[in-house]
Amino acid sequence: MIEFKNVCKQYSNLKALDKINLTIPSSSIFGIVGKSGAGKSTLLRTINQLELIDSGTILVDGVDIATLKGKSLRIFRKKVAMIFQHFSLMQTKTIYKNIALPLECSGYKKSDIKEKVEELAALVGIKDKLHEKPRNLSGGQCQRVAIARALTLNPKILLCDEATSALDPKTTHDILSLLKRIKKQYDITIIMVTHQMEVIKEVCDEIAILKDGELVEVGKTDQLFISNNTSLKELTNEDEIIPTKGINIKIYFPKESSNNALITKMARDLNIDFSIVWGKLERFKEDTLGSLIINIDDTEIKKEKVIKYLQKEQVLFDIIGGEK
Amino acid sequence: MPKITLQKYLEEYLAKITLETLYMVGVSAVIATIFAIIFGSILYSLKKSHHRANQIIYKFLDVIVNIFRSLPFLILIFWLIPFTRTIMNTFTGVAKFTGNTAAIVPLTIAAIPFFTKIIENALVEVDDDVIEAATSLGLSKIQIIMKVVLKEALPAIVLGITLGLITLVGYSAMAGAVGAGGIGNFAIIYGQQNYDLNAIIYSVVTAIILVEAIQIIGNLIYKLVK
Ligand SMILES: Nc1ncnc2c1ncn2[C@@H]1O[C@H](COP(=O)(O)OP(=O)(O)OP(=O)(O)O)[C@@H](O)[C@H]1O
Ligand SMILES: [Mg+2]
Repeated sequence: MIEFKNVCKQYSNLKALDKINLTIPSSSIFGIVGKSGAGKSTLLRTINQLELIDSGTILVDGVDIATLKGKSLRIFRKKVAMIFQHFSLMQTKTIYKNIALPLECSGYKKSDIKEKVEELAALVGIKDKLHEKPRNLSGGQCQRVAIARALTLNPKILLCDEATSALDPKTTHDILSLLKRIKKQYDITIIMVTHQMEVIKEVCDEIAILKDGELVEVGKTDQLFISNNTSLKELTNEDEIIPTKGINIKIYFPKESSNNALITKMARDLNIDFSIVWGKLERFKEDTLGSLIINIDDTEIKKEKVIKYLQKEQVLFDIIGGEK
Repeated sequence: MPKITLQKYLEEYLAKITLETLYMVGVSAVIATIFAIIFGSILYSLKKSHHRANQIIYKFLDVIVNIFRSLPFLILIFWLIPFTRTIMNTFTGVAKFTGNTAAIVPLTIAAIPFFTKIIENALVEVDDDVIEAATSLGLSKIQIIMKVVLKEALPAIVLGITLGLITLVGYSAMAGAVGAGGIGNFAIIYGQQNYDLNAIIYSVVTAIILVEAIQIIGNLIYKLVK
């Protein structure tokens, strides 16, 4: 568990982190999102002290990390691995040597190193590349190498700073699947800083939203998305284009109801015509969630009927825009 | 003195003077590189340090290195005569300042600040991201310099030292003026002092081939370590 208590960090007169209070549970995939410059990277990097904080405390499994100095800090860092947007591999070393680096520097035996490197190379799927140099690998392959290197010392926490931002969508998906698999297999906490909403939706159990150094929202990913959270909406930058005439009703599809044919059923049951004016269905991890905006003629009777119907069906909805 | 024929040059002088030059340049380059790696790493660490005191020490050392770098080599040779004698006395038992071995002393002294800068610059060029990744993996500062920064800088160091070697070939020719052997000495004695244009041409061609060979070997090593 990682706890931030009143964490502040200032760069000259810019508040990069402003009184952050946040708890990141163990064994989860936790997302940190926000606009560029919101302080995501800064927050992430305070966890392994790549960035020092000005005030407040950060507890990792109950230990105040400010008390860690020199050797104890290095031992701590071995348990908090990190991967980066541009992979940060050594260009002059082979893939094998890149993965072996932390082991060599921790004084492991040659035979143990070989065993561990090969085990991890197999796990991330780059076994046939061990004797290549990074420049001969694709971005996705490089990130796999970086993941293998990060896992050599059996970390408890894996920090990812825009780890998939330099990759194409298919490769991003593959890397995310790998991270999910690793999380299950090794029971580690993964913290992902990203500006890619697909990443959030695909892997994050919970997210924290940062804005100008402040924490503006924390919650379960699916709930924040379906509840149409305003902070999140600012980020997704999706304007719903809806008619100004009539009544617009936004219907949310949480896990349970997304698959039954609510809309058509309602049309039949109520014998009301309406048009679907905006809609979005998306995959969240294993579920499909989304929302749909329907527009009905401007009559109070129809509106009442629809609302009653939706309430009866226990569907989440909002009346938005138009003439209310 | 009779003029030197090409055949005589090839048979009697070529191998001898080339080996003499290689000896002077090679030994001084090896010694200078060892010192330069140490000094270069120290300068690099000071430069990267966040402590103000270290920054001031860096500025100070940087000025000293630059003063030594800008001294003309001929002046350095004469200025170092007492030092060269002491060193020669310590290592060979003869307190002289002329000859191939004695020339190694000023050549090394000239090469150290030069090579130090080459290495410092190569280290500074290493990607900060890689250093950060190494830090995040729990490596110590020494490990980061030894196992990450120096290794990543190696291709640039190889190219830089190759350039340094070529400069040293030029310096060694100047050392020829004060009695050291080698290609430069040959050109002065048999070419300039004996008005033998052919001797000058032979030695110049030899020097060009030598420089070219050093560059080719340097490029090969660069490809290997890249
Ligand atoms: N070393 C630094 N010196 C001065 N200002 C900095 C430094 N590092 C970051 N900042 C500033 O702090 C703020 C937060 O930076 P941070 O890198 O955490 O943003 P971010 O949310 O990760 O943005 P991005 O999505 O662009 O990576 C930015 O305004 C940035 O300019
Ligand atoms: Mg960032």
